[in-house]
Amino acid sequence: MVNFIQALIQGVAMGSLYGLIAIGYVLIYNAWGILNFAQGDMVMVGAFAVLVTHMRLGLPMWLAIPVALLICMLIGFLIEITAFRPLIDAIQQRRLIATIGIGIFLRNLVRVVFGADPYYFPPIFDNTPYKVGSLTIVPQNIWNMVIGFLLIGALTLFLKRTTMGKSMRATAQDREAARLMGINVKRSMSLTFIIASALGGLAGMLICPVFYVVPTLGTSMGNKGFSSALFGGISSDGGSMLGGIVLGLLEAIGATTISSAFQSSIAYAVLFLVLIFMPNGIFGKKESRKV
Amino acid sequence: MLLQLKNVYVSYGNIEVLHGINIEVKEGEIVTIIGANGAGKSTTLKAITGLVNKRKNSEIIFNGENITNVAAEKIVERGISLSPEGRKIFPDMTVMENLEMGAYIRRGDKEGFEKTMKLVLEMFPRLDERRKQTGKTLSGGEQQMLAIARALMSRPKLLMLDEPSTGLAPLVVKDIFHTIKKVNQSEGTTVLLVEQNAKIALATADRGYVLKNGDIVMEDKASSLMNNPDIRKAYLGERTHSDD
Repeated sequence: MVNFIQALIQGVAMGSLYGLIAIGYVLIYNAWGILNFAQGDMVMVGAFAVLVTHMRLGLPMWLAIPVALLICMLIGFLIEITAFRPLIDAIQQRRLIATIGIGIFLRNLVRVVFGADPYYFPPIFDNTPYKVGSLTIVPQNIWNMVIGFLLIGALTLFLKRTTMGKSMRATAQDREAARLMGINVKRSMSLTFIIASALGGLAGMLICPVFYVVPTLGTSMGNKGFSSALFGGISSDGGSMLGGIVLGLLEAIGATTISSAFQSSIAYAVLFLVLIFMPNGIFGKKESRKV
Repeated sequence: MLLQLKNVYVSYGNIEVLHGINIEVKEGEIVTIIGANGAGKSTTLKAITGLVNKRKNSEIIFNGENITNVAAEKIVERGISLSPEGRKIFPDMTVMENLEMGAYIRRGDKEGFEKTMKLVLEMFPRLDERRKQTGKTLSGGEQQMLAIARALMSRPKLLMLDEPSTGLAPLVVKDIFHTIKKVNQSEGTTVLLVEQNAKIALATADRGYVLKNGDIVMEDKASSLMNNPDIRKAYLGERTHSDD
């Protein structure tokens, strides 16, 4: 029982990070009509950005993270205007290939600059385990959870309550109609990419102390975020957070009850099952969009 | 003169769809452009809003200003609003959010927004009942009302409507055209209306243009067009004696 609760905490903590990655996929999918296969690599970029600002430049953590976030936003914006915006009216396949290409480019650029060796990154939050009754609580897990939920909450409020957020949704739903309303759709699209990059990047920073920082970090994290997004329903913002948590829980419970060797394969098993049995995810709408 | 199209040419790729058309709309009028499918009616409205590019020498004057090359997202600020073909409401946003987007250019003016919202909802009481529903859950007629209401939220000088009757039951069409007339009369909004349903369009409008294969082939008072035997035969589905 204790083991199970332990696994729950671990699962939700990890899952909220998956949720942050997943929501980046969802935001861009809704606005652009295409899965952004470079979204996972933005997680990796976030990890390396904080590695640079904290370890190389020696900035204290409270400053290193915001600066690294700004770097992620800038990179996200640059990718959008150079690789994605010129293809906005192109056919799906070309846009899809552009996202794959950007992913390959980012991974290899980082490999050239930093090498392929793994880097160690110190804990951002206190990771000394505390005993609460017979449970072991690691504050780092709790912080990740809190940050994940707060950010999703803030993003939802932004999209539903502010005029800027609403204009982003309007742009995602019908670009031409949005222009007729006087909405600057280019700015709206950029904002979407910037927010998605920041969320992915932040997840990467929070993951840094758990995993080693390597150029391929984005592949595994991207796949997990992608599975979460599909599980929650690729067109649903709220669903992706839940999808992330479900995946995190499955992994943690699987690791304790079956074997920790199976932990990563669980994400792919979930992905397969969702694709076969629930192609619209748990909260997804029936796909009716014409792209 | 509120709106003037002078020699407007539009091409899609190598195919020219508007061959230098001239249209004038006076302040306070309801003007209709009628014509068959593919005549270039929607393209004309898209040309005005900047959604399609015009060839050189085309000129569009609105309210004394040359708006030929103004970008689509800047047109609404000039006082032109379009209720587009196929309605194009935001499907996953509520009725209220759709209307709010219609007032996007006036987002700083909360008081004016509330006032316009009240006025528009009075005109379309069905929308008032459906405030919290998302666009895609509305019926076709309600979606059309929402598209027109959304276009009115910017308080345009010129309201342009692209095929508001498409796919709607005759009673709903009548209701919508009644409201269009009301907007024109009570608010003094000038209306440019593109329709395939020539009968109701001519019954509502003051003046009409007939567009055929990208050319304006006729221009007259709506009542005269309605009584023109050629128009009756070609666009009002009436058989003439010579056919018998």
